This record gives sequence, structure tokens and C-alpha cells, in this order.
Amino acid sequence: MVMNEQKHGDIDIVALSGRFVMADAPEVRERLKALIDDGQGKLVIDMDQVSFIDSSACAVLISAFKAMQLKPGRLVLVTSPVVQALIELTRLHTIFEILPARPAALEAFGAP
Amino acid sequence: MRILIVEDNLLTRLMMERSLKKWGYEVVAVDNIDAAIRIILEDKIQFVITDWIMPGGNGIELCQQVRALNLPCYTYIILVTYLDDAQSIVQGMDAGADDFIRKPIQLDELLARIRAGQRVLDLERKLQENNLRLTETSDKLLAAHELINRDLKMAATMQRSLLPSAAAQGQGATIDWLFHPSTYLSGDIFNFFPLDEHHVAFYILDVAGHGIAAAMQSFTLSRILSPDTNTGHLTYSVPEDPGTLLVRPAHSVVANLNQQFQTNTANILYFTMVYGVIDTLAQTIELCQAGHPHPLYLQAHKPAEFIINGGLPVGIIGQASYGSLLLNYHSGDRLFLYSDGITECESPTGEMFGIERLRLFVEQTRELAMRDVIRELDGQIRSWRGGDGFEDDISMLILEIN
Repeated sequence: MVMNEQKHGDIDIVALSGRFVMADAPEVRERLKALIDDGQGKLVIDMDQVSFIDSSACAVLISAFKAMQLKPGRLVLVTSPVVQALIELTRLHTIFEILPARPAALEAFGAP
Repeated sequence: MRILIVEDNLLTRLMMERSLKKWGYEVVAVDNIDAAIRIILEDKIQFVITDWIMPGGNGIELCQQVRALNLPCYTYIILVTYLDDAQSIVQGMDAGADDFIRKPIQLDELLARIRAGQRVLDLERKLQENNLRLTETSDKLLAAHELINRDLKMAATMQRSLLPSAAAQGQGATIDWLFHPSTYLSGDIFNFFPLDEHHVAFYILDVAGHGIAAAMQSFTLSRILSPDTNTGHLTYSVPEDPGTLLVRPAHSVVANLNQQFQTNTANILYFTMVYGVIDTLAQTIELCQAGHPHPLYLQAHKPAEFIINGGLPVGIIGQASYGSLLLNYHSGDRLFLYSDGITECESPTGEMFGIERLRLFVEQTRELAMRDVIRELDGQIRSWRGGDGFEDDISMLILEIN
């Protein structure tokens, strides 16, 4: 898995690609936590290029979701079909804010 | 550093001995190769300067003999020669010489060549020290690994002992199951047991991830969701009638677990589950799903169908609500509970086993006894995986209504 961080104004964007599984979970979790702690409460996790995701990776997303609720702030996910399928299977789409592509996610935060 | 001089000419020998001592080296000098070999072996001298031509065996033979000894530490050999044609140099190197010096010996050249050899021996010594350290570390790692493996194997045996016995019969239903942890321990667990005279409980659950942390969580949950520990999770009584145990509705069992096992920054392991209660009087199965792969229900003469309802995985949102669903069963109906380790099992080309393949499998094996269904599924999922170990825990629990 490859993790790539960018900033768009005050929005933090984390782009993940490849297989997002248990072995990557601790590192991604740490980074997301740091970004949420230090950021402006605006985070996009872009998983458009994620080819496989397991439940440990989902746990990382949930942990970020909870941290963002406490901050409080807003977390938006961009999903690939594989990611969307697992999220729907576990019914997590009922709690996550999911948008189809990165431009839409940035727009949701009112970014130009 | 100690240097062995092998030289039959007395004058040259004395001259070299004196110079080397002046430069600070310890020197042993002999005049034939037999004595030289003896000293190399006994005194473990690693640096040899030997004359090429000597009576009773020349320097080339000494090189060959030293190399043939295959000593644990390297022996650096300088050949002293009158010959400086390329053919002689090749012959000397083939025999195992490291360097050459021509007669008459120039002292500054001799010193330079000794220092060059010393650098080689220093490097060799450091290399050997590093190798030794690596070997020691690797031995320790192997021992630690062995210990951990033994521990895990023991824990795996314990985990299996928590599972219901295959072909167990409760009132109303018979079960069989498949269980493959991806490593030694599994984050999956399931059980099947009576609650009272006409209620039987069953569940399957999958703690996020796999490995030790997930397994510890599944151990805890299996103790709570057990007929042996009266924690009030599955049955309860009211103050007016403390002697009578009432069966908790499935959705309330899951909702209580959800309150109790909320994830937080220290513990992010949520779990998915299906909990059900068979009521043999009403002939119903009550099911509550929490983010778990949808159970498959197979009735006589009908296609297998997914039972779809339910809420979020357990531990994600404290306020999450859960609902139950009621199935009216008939004798011979089968209910298949499984973890996503089966449906998401990837073939060598990365294709998932998938829910539709599983549904078809369930239909196609409807005439088989449960034992054979399990055996068949085991074979299919293994051949789908193509020989590699499973990436996620695999489990399936089948219930058949009597």
C-alpha cells in the first residue's frame, strides 16, 4: 500500500492506493490520528486507487471517524468499487460520508 | 601482529627479522616449510612471508598446504621471489599466495606490502566478528520464535476447545462446521447451545483483523456468549419471578454487546456477528445481524436465499439500533453462517470466491449430508485458494432443522 498526503487549503487529503490490509493498519492509523489532531477538522481519505481492503483497515477508518467526531470535524471518504462493497456489506455506509470522487469531496468542504 | 618468516638464506632471514622487529612486529623465523606449517598450526600465526625456492619444499607448496588446511582464520601469504615473469605470478596466485615481493628486498616496499596485508586481515577479522554476532542474534531469534510458536499452538488448542462438537445435536437442530484460522489463532468464533427446554442459541462472530489481538477479543466474547457463564447476556429473570429464566430477544443481546464493547482509541477491534435463537415450540428462528455477511437459508425445493437485515458491526456507534428477523422453519431447512474469510478468499489471480459462488454451492450440495457438505466446501475453498495459506480466518457453521 502507498500513502500520500496533500493539503488543499485547510483540507487534509490522504490518498491510499494498493492493498489496504492489517499490515498497513498501524501506520495509517497513526498518520490519520496525527492529521486529525493537528488539522482543521477537514479530512478526505481518498481510496479511489485501493484494490483490496480488509476489516482491520475498516477498523482504522472507523477509528478516524470517531476521532473526527470528538474533535469535532468532518471526514469524507472517496471509495473504489471494492472499498464501497465492503463498506456496504458491513453497513458502514450508514455512518460514513462517502462521495464518488475527490473533486466532489473537496467541494463538500466548500473548496473552490 | 605476529609474522612468520620462512627463509633458508640466513642473511636474508636475519635482515628481515631485524627490520620487522624494528617496525614493531613480533617475528618467528624458520628455514623450511615443515617447521612453518607446525608453527602456523600451533601458534595460529596469520601472516606469512615465505621464500619461493627452498630445499625440502618451496613456497608454492607451503601456500598449497596452508590453503588445504582450511583454517578457521585467513592466513595472508607474501611470496618472496627472484622470478617476476607473469607465468610465475599466475602459478603463485593459483597456489594461494596473496602478494609478491621481489629479491633483492627493498625495505620500504616490504613494509608497504605488510601493511596492505594487515588491512586485509583486519577486514577479515571484523567480518568474522560481525558474522559471529549475526549468528548469535539469529540463534536467539530462532529460539524466541520457537517459544512463541509453541505458545500459539497451545492457545490454538484452547481456542478449538471452545467450539461446539461437530454434529452436535440440540433440541430442534443439528450442526456441523468448518474452522481454519489464518495463522494459529482466529478472530472468528461460533457456538451452538441450549438456553432452556425449547430455546437453542447460536452465533458466529468475526473480530476485525486476525491474529492474537483479534483472538483475545473472540475468547472474551465466547465466554460471555456461553451457557456456562451466567452473565445475564442471553437470559434474564424478573424480580417478581426470580426462579424463571427468560430468553433475551436476539436484537437486545446484540444491542447490549454493542454498549459493552464500544471501540475507542485503545481498542479499535469492532466485530461483526449473527446471533440467533431457535424456538422449537413456535418453530421459529430469530436472527439478529450486525454487519456480518448475510446468512444463507436453504429450504426444500427452493433456491438458497440470503437473509438480509440488521445493523452496524458491534462496537462502532453506541446509539446504533438492532432489529431481529423471524424465520418460520420446516424440518430439513438449513441455515449457513460464515465469515467473510470464505467469500473474500482470493484465488491466485486475485479473484474472490464471492457470495454467488457460495450460494450456488449451498444449492448444489443440498442432497448431501452436512458432514459431506463441510468436506466438499473445505476442498473447494482450498483449491480456490490454490495451495497458499488463507489470508483471513475461515469459518462456517451449518444448522439443520431436525
